[in-house]
Amino acid sequence: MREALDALGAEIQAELDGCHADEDLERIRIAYLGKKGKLTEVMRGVGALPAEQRPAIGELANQLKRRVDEHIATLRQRWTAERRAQALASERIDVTLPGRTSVHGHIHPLTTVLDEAIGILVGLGFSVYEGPHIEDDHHNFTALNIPPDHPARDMHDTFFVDETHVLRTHTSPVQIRVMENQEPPIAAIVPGPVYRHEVETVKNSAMFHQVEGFLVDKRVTFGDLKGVLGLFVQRMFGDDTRVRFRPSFFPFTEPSAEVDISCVICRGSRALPGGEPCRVCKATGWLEILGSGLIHPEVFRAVGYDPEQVSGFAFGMGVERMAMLKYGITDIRLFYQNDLRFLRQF
Amino acid sequence: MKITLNWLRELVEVVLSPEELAETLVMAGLEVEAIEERRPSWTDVEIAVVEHMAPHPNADRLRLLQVRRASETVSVVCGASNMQAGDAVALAVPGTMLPDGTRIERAAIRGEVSHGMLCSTRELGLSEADAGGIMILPADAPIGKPLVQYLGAADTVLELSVTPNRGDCLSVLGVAREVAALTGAALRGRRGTVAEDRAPASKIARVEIQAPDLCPYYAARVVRGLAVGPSPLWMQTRLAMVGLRPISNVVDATNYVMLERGQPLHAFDLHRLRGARVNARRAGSRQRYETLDGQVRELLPEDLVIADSEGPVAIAGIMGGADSEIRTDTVDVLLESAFFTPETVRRTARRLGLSTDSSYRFERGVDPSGTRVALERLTELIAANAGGAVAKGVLEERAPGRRTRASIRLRPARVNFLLGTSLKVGEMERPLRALGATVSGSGAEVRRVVPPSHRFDLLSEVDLVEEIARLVGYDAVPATVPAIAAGGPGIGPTHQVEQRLRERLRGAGFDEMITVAMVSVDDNRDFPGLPELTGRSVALMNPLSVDAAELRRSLLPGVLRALAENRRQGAGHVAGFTLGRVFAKEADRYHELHTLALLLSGAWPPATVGAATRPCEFSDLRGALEAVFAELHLDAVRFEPVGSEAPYLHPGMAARIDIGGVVCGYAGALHPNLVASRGLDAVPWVAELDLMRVVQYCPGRVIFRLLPRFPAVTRDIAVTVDEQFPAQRVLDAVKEVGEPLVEEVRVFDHYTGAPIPTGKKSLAYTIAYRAPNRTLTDDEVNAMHEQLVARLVRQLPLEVRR
Repeated sequence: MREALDALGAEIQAELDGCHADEDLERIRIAYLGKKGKLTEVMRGVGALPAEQRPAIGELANQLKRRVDEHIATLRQRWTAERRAQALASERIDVTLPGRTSVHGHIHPLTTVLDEAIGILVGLGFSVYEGPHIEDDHHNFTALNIPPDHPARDMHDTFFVDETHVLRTHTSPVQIRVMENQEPPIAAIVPGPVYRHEVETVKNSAMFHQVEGFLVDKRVTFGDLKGVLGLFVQRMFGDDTRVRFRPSFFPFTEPSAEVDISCVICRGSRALPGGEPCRVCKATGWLEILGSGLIHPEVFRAVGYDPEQVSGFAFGMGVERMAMLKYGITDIRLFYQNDLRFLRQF
Repeated sequence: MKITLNWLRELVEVVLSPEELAETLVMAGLEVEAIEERRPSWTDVEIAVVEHMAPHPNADRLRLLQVRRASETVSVVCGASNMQAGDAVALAVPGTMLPDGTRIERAAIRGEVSHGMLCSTRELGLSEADAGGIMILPADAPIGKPLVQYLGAADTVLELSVTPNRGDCLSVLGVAREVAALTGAALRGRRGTVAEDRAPASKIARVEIQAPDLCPYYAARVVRGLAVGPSPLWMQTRLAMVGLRPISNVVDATNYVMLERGQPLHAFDLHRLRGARVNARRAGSRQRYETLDGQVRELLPEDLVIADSEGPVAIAGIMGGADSEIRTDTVDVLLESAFFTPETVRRTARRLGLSTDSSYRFERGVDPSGTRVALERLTELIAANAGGAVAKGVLEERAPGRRTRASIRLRPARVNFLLGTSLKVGEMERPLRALGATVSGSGAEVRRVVPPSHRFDLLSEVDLVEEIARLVGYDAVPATVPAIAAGGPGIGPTHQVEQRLRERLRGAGFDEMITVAMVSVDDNRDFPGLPELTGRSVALMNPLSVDAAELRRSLLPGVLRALAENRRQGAGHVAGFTLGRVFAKEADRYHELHTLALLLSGAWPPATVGAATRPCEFSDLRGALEAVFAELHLDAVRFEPVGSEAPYLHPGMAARIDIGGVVCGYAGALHPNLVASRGLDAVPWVAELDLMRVVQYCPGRVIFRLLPRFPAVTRDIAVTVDEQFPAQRVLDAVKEVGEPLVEEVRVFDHYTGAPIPTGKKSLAYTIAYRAPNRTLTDDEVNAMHEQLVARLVRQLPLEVRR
């Protein structure tokens, strides 16, 4: 029996030595280790041996089987590795060909800037409100402390749709609408288009976009206005942006403040690296970016609030201006021409 | 508004540099738009006197002059002949650089040495035209004085932008007051002296106020025997610097004093005032009237006019009349300085569409305490510049009743409450006093503040709060970040839906467009919009052009315009969308809908290497819409054939989009008529949806469904139908059966061509069957499916393909 095992071992060894392909290997495995394989037969025969021979012969047979299994596995691994190496050495694609992309579109730059502003302000606790674009005179002007025949009406070149209705000249009428409908505290922002009766130029468009914001509570101070707008401006234009507040006039706020940020182009240095004066800020180092102020008591009275019981601030900014500064766009008309060569840059 | 620094310095001490001054004013709310240095190159031109004049010995057309300078007399050769001995002239000494770049040298001209050149106004850049020879200066021009100084031609011009509330700053004096308040410098007083003659003015002319509510005060002076001519050069130079064209010594003086003191003034030719009287009264009747700009204007009965005994001679505070204006032959004048109420001037000026330097100031409020002072200054200047005798006394009329400025209650605690500061009372009083207000009260108590008469804008406590903050400096207010306790929708459902929709469409290859809301009448006729948008189109009363005469009823004209423009630029594939409002008016109500428009044109998908392209089809557009609906978890969306329901779409290639049984929009091919009339070269696919309906049907949240525990079994069915047969009918019929075990049915193939006969098409559907509580057996499913198919065959005009 022992000799038979040795002979079988030698035979298998010879077969494996002469084997060079996976199929042969499998054939050999079946021939010796399969259900009816030669080695399997031998091992099955072990049970019929006398009891004293069984452990030794059984052990020998098992050793042989393990050796053959290992040998087959080693060969398989080696050949797989060789094949992989060969494939790696020969398989090549041209990675410089353009990709077969799914098409992708573009979001309008005004939307991107608007959404960024909305995101920051919503994060600070403000909520988005909307209002009609065709406004009555009361909401667009009178309730905002701009009575008929007031010189401040000159600040707004207005489109009229009838004697008492206009295309809203600013988003501020929504302040009135929101306050008419609810009680403080209110933290609201109003994004959207506004309209001015202005002939189209590089700088002017008859339709443009604003974001209005206002906060009304028991005690809102001018210091709060500075704090909130300072935060907003830094998130919108970067942490190193400096901000200054200077007196101005809006009929619906008092005190009123114009908010300037350090120029995004020259970083407030008034000149470009070459020494040429910065044209974007007209070499002042500052860019006007927001109008703001404490809500005027007359505005509170117009919506039935008691100005002794509540205070608040309001601010408004032009989206086109922010987008032009952000992307270096110099002609406002590009926003409405929808030239794909423009839109697809964003 | 422009002022010059030297002019400002005449009224207040300015120690700051122009840049520092500008910064100070800007930070106090007076915007400085530009600082312009005027520095003539010819600083070496000086005033000299012609002592002797003789022909040039060697040249017929030249003259040899002896000209006296401060320290010497020099010879000068000159080509002009308009001077005579004793004339003061402008001598450019050697070394002078003229504006055209010529450098004056000492030179021998035809054998005679010339120590400089006598200049004309044109050579110095002071006038455009040659005034006929060299400049002759007034006899009292001081010899040796640099001409630049004498004329005031070297100066700094500040261009200011004054907000509507600060009418008081529309003058050099107003800015001087601000400078004084901001820097602590003192105003420089200037009391003019008017030398009067004996004849009392009251005997020469009369002044009357018949409309005291509109004109509370009217003052006038009479000057007789003056000579109208050009103003002195220094005044012409200064007026030109601030952008005013010099006219005559009388008119220039009225403008000069207005710019200096903010009081609009008017000069009438006394002989053209019938009855030698003026009356501030209402026009009284509707009438036509010619103003001095030659325009005929219509006056209404309520308009305030200045009238003589016959009729209007000026529209009060706005513009004088053509009949009584100053002419070259005017010798006697009546000078007007009055207070007209802002409301009356504004109302009339606005109605007439006439804004003048005068009306601009009156509308914003002119200091009533300065009326008389300005008149004296004007009289002084006219007497000096035009000569004549000033009649004795001021003609004055005043509305009855004493006008005192009411005091404003100022609570120091309120100031700190609103500003978020902790200013002491003294720190609040100081700036108010610096502005000229009187402040009374003591301790921490309430103050009574009377603003100065020129501050029309200071009416309430909050106005004073702003003044305090402005002068203390906004920088001095500490920034604080409040805790925002307000509730609210946050970003809100509409905006959120918009954002998701934009992102989804972007992912589907669409570019976002933004179009303006104004369109042409034709645009609105061609694209009446969604059926909800009933009523008339909204027309603008004052459109900018016929192309922008109305507010759009649909977003489609805008995107189609963008398409045409992009095609002209060579774009092959255009996929765009836009979100916006559309408008209509029904009875007295305006409707605004929030809609979404899609546009698809050209080859789809845009060419990539190795992928075939084809013209885009309805299914591409519908696919994009379905992607949006899927993004928003909207089911119950149906596309129905429409016929001519949407007149701007091809009747056989368009769908109505219903959500939950309600019409939400349309999608399809643009009508061929419009393709042609809009100058398009290929048929675009377009869609417009009511966004608010979409938002309304959006599920507020997604609710999880348990995963099925047993497998689904599918069966396919292929049918041959007429080409006109809508695929949807089979889906509907299957659903109508109501078999609870049918989980889903959908179209998976659509085919025409052999072996399907012409005029027919093949449709293939797959139906999924599933039971919630067990695995269905093949026999069960087969039985169900056969029943279903049999029913379809009975109900619908179709043949089952086996």
